[in-house]
Amino acid sequence: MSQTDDIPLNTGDREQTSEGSATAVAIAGRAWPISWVSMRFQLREFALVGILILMVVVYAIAAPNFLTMFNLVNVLRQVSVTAVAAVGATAVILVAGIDLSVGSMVALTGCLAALYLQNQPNHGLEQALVAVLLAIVFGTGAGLFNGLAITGLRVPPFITTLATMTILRGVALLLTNAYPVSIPPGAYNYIGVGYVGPVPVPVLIMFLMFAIGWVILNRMTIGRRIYAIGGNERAARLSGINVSRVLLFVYAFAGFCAGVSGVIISSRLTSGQPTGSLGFELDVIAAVVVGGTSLSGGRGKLSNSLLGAVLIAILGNGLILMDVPEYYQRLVTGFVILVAVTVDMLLRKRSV
Amino acid sequence: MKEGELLRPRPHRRTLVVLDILIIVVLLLSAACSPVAAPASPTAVPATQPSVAGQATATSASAAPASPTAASVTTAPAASGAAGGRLPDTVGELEALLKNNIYYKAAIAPEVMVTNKGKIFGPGEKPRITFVLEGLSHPHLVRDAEDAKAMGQKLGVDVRVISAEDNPDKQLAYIENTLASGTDALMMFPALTKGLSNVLKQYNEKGIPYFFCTKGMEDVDYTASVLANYYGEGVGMGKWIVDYYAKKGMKNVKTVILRGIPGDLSDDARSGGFKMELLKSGNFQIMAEQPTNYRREPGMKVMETLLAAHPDVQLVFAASDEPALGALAAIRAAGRKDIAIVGLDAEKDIFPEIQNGSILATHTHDPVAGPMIQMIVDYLQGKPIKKLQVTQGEYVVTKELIDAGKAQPSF
Repeated sequence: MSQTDDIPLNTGDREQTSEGSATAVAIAGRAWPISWVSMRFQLREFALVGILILMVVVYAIAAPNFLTMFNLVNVLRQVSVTAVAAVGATAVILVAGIDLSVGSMVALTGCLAALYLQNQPNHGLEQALVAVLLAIVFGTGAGLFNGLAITGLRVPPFITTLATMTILRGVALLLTNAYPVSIPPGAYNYIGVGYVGPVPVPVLIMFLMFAIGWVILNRMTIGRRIYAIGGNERAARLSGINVSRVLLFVYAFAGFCAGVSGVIISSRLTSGQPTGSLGFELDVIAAVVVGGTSLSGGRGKLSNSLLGAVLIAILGNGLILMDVPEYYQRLVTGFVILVAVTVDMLLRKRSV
Repeated sequence: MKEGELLRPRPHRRTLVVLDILIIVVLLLSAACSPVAAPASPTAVPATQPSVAGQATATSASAAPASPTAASVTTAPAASGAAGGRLPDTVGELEALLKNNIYYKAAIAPEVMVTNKGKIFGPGEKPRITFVLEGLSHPHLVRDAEDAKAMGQKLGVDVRVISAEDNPDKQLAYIENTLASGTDALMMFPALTKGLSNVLKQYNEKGIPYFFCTKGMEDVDYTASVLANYYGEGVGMGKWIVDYYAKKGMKNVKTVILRGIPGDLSDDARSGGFKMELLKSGNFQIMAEQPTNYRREPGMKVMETLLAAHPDVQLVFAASDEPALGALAAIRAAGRKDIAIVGLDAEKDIFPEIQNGSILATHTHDPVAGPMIQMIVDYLQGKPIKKLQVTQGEYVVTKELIDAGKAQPSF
């Protein structure tokens, strides 16, 4: 049955294509590759945006108060911490690396800023700036340490950052005795709760970090080198790229981003949390991967990491708005991530 | 060749459509599972008011045409039960759940005394006591470790503290190691409520007494335990808040519950005890119940979202001060001053917030490791001690109490 069904269908299809005039086929034959490539490209972009739109539509109908300014600003503010760290993580994953120490780094840098502020007599702009610098410089330093161990000692990134994850968490616990460190009211806390016009400060910082990341990855030589190393490290090395230097930069940049994340989260919570941000690294990696960046390196777009982070955040937001019990939330979140990545991969298979 | 390639996209597109439909189905299913969107009985649907987008005034939950508005939990059908980590919504079901909870059982346990039938230590002897605790990643645990060591020094006994680094497997390994290296008594702050019965049976066989501190375990023949009064703390806070609103004359108080870890027996006892009092009074409308892992950051995130879902919320209960402080950060950022927050634990950080009126109250949660060392030494020296008891003398901490200097942080 099925055979007899299939055969006429196939011949029918063939007839259809051969029915067209010879010139049309010729033109289509030539024009096809370019237009098809661009179409496939658009489809890839569409996969994420499409799922996002889909989700928004479903939530707009099913979840009370989802489409309010208040809630949407909430989502953006919540996503800012993950998204900022995801800028650095995108670069790391683009060189086929991984950074598991992000969560501990965020916790520790937040604690450092909090500890500094707690020991200051007043809490003006100056102290806030020093605290921010302290967090960022320390984050960058920790990232640099990761990079040195990876390039100098040739320890695989997974192992290196797994170790620094534990080390940094230990330092945070040691410094604070596991107690949260309160930040006294002052200029520093403005970062977490302040607005510039209608835009919350964390969201502004997030866009700024994406702008910096975009310039590095797309408008600077080092960005090209990052893609080249991720695509084929050996080839990159042979073509004269100083791979170690690029890797050092990438891990330091990831640490820098983690430091900024630490600043945002600590000022949002008005405290440093030595035991906070547990498992945060996986949220960040999930955002990058859902954004379509290949874990094997060399392939991916920074802007899609933002989409990935927003997608995961909106997913969680809507589920809480509907007061879905926790266990179902986990189920749904995992499933949607899986589907989003599957859709993305299906489309990538067809892209060049 | 080319034709084949041209044809290939079709099934892919179909796959995409199927996957997209799957997402819709899953999201709609989750919507169906949630009590908010569940078809509510007619009495449960409050009068729909026009919701003001993004405005921080008290409005009823938005009435989207496709979904019924938030159903009052007190009138929700009993069938909605304890699904997916949510506490039951009726007094009867909640009682049934708590009846099997070790903390509830400990809170109502009759007084039984035990005495040492094994080796009795003289006043001059120095027994070795090993304290294995689940980890040192929470201030409460750090305090327990410090207290135990300090008490050991004071009594002149050898107290060894071992942290399991928040890993139940490591805790098992350390307890096995302790058995091998030998100790006169084992004190445990267990990471799990079940699962160590095999190794602890060996302690029974060797005649080494073991004691549970703060958290208990099931299916084991322990010597004696002092458990935290999780149930009593929840009930105490619940009674206080019921009384508070009764005095104010407020009816149908819109409440959200920020739980700790659903399924964790201590959280069941705390949040369950609190919810029980609210349900019994019938004066509260529980609008949402979400987990916070007892931490500040998830507490803030959940509260931010709940503020959007239920702008008219009046009372926030958090199963610990950490999520209570997280909720406060979210409420502050939203510029709201009309929402009452209560926590549990009476940690140091929350005292200034109670004093400045940002948080209404909390309940003490005193560490027991210090007094327990004393109790274990008493037992080893042959004095009778209580078999099972909960922390005594805990109280609700309010601004008045702090201002009068009558309240102390638990840790």
